[in-house]
Amino acid sequence: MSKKYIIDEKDYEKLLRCVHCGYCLTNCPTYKLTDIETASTRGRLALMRNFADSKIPLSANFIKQINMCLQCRACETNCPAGVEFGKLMETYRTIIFTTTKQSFILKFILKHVFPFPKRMSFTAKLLKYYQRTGLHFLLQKIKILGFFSKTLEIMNAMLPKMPSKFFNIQEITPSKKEKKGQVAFFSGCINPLFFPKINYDTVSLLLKSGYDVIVPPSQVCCGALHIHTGDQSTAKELAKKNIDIFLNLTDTSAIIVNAAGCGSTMKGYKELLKEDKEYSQKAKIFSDKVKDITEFLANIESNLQFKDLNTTVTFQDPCHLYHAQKIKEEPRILLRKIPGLKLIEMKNHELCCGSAGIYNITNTSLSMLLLEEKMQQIRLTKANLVLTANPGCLIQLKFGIKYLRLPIEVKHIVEILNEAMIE
Amino acid sequence: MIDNNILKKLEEILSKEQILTSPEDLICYSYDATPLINYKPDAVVIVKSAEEISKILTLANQTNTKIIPRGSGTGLSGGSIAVQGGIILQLTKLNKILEIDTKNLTALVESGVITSALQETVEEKGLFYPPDPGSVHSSTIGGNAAENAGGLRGLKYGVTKDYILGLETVLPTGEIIQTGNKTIKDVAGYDLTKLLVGSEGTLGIFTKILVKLIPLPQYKKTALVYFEKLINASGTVSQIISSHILPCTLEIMDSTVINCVEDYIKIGLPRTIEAILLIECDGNKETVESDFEKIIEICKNNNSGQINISNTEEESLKLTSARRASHSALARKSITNIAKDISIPRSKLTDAMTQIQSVKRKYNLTIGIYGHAGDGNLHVTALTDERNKEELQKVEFAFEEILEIAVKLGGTITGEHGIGIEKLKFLPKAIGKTNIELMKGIKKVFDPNNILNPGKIF
Repeated sequence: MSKKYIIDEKDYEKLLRCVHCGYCLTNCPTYKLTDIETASTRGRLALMRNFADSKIPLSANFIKQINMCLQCRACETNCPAGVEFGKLMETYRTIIFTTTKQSFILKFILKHVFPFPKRMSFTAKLLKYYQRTGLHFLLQKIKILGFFSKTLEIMNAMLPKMPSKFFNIQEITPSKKEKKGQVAFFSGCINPLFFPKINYDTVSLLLKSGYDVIVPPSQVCCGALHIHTGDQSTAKELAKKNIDIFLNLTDTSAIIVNAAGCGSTMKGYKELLKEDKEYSQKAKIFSDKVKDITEFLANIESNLQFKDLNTTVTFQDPCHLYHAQKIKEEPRILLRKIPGLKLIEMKNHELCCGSAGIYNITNTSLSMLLLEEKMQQIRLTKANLVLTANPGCLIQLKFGIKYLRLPIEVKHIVEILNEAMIE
Repeated sequence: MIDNNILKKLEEILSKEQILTSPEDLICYSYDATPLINYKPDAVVIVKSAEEISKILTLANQTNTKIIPRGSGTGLSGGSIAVQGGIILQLTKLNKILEIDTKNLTALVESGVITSALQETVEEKGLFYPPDPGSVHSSTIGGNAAENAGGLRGLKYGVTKDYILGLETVLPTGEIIQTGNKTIKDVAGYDLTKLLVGSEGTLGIFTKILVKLIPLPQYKKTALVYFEKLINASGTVSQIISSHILPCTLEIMDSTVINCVEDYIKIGLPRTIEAILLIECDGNKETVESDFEKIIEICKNNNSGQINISNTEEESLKLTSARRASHSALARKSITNIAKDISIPRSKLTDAMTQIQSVKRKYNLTIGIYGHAGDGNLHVTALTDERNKEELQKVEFAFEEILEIAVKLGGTITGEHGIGIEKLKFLPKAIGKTNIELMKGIKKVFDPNNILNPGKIF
């Protein structure tokens, strides 16, 4: 039996905003899969309200429904009343995290691995050797993991090919172009270890646009995973560390990020630390500086030149770019600048691919159903390349393509932009 | 709580995953989109076919179990709420578009198809299903049929009832009947299809719907017109209609709504004017241009202020956003919105709106009016807070007076939202006792044991 938890007034006001019109049902992935109101935004809000009014306890069913939510925030895009569902989810996840028993592995990873770049790097090295020894390949072929856990089998199959070298800021050559300004780059904790090319391409784009790039080496994980899982205390620690590191840099007009999840979380630092006497001001300055690479490039005044690229692409909007940050047009504005590039919109491009942080681990079957649907929509566009803007989505889509053996490439949008952008 | 025997029988008809009885599930099915109405059902069943529904209704009849049909639960009068307990049947898994007949211009769909999905699919073939209630992206065609939903295009194109040619319905006693067909004219017997549409789920549960389609209009022009004085806006509406021009959209927003919308989307709407009209014409380009010229002249003759005209699809969307944002803008202004949609003859538009303003002042409430001026259907919305019991009481009194105003002006108490349970007590005054007795008689024929959606309408 959980201890009594009081919802604070501000969160309660957020709950009251819901007029239960049901417009959120249009795009809620779990509702669309199940047709059960309880597994919809509106249903979750009703449960949240009942809990806040002490009408129901923190029951197993309630927890199940809160945990089944992808936190994709597609509902917020449709909501006429402006219910801050993402924020409410974070509050309730925190309640669950702090008052009920959690998986030991999850807590360990959140508290003792992610916040420490060296430990993350060590883990990545282990995964590299796991692949180099052929063990990864073997376990995929034999399918023995499936006997223990379907999730483990899928996680194993999803592991992308580890790069030979991790992202190293020392390897960046400064720009020879006339300087327009200077920006900081948030490298994240997944891209440097799994997809370093994406980071090199991002920095290259900034240099080509005339911006010097500073990559502070002591930066830490943004805390997205922690926020979404409910480990708010660790998230706040990480936020404060990053705020100190980045605000100490002088003359940087923006903090560029190429992972939608991280961008959304860091823009949210100002809300996260609103009540913190020491950091509330600093968090606001920090958050206001954060810009997604697409957001930044689409809005600078440079005359960006692109060479011809003859290819057909489609764009999967990461939920935390489209719904959370409301960055919808910018990736498309940039893609349309590339001559010869044909952009075909897939149906439901703004709906979740099922990656949703670690949702593909915690709710594997639902995640796979969403991925199946997504692959179908991608196929129908007949594009030969699908682009996205977040590592989680990238991993999920790559897995879908590999599993279905489709002749389609998956890339981060910066890869194609950098390929096409002329110095 | 559901009776154990009934539960066992249900488990024979359906699989366990289809039956929901947990306290959390029951909470989630205790509401629809109607404010302040909450009743828990005894159980919820997610049905997959007409056969399942038939078996359930047969069982329900034998055991006197109440059954409530539900689409997406986005209704505004409590139609899918279990006011007397019972079992809710969620119908959204019946979601296939079965056939689009491009020769006969019809479409056969299962009742759980989301209306906008139907619209998008037929538009790809150059066809058009006009009725567009505000909930079009989340409501089902079955729900629209049960409530005879309207929308912004009602003036020119009509409402849901005008587009339903036939139904497959499961009767409260369990039989499955077919009514209607693909023909345009059919007078064989009483028109059961037309009786069933709008029956608010009290006469039968729709499983298949045969809709009529029309060709997709090729061209559209939009104007957003500002009016210093309300009387000039309504004068314009009357004159447009009497000049035999039928815009596809003719909407009005009063100053309360204009201010809420400007607070929300900030597009530069003037805050001190009394009304805005949104006027759209669609169809063949020449006719649209010529009608539009006439409309602009009528506006000017009625002392209109600024006239903003769209020249592209993009501009058209921008102009319509002011009207389409009304619902959201009001929802963001206050915690609780209580809206009732009266319908009055168009010639009484000014009278209705002025009298509603008096009621507003009398009770000192914030009330905004927006809606389909062209067909006389207005959404009267009170902005309040459910925690303020005193104000809620005043809102109730105010609406009683407003509904009476509608009836006195020769109109009705609900143009599209339905009676449900929300306006039960107003119905006798609105339509009279004899008409109600006739309706009760019909209900008894369809549902002798009163098990299907009891407690609604009357």
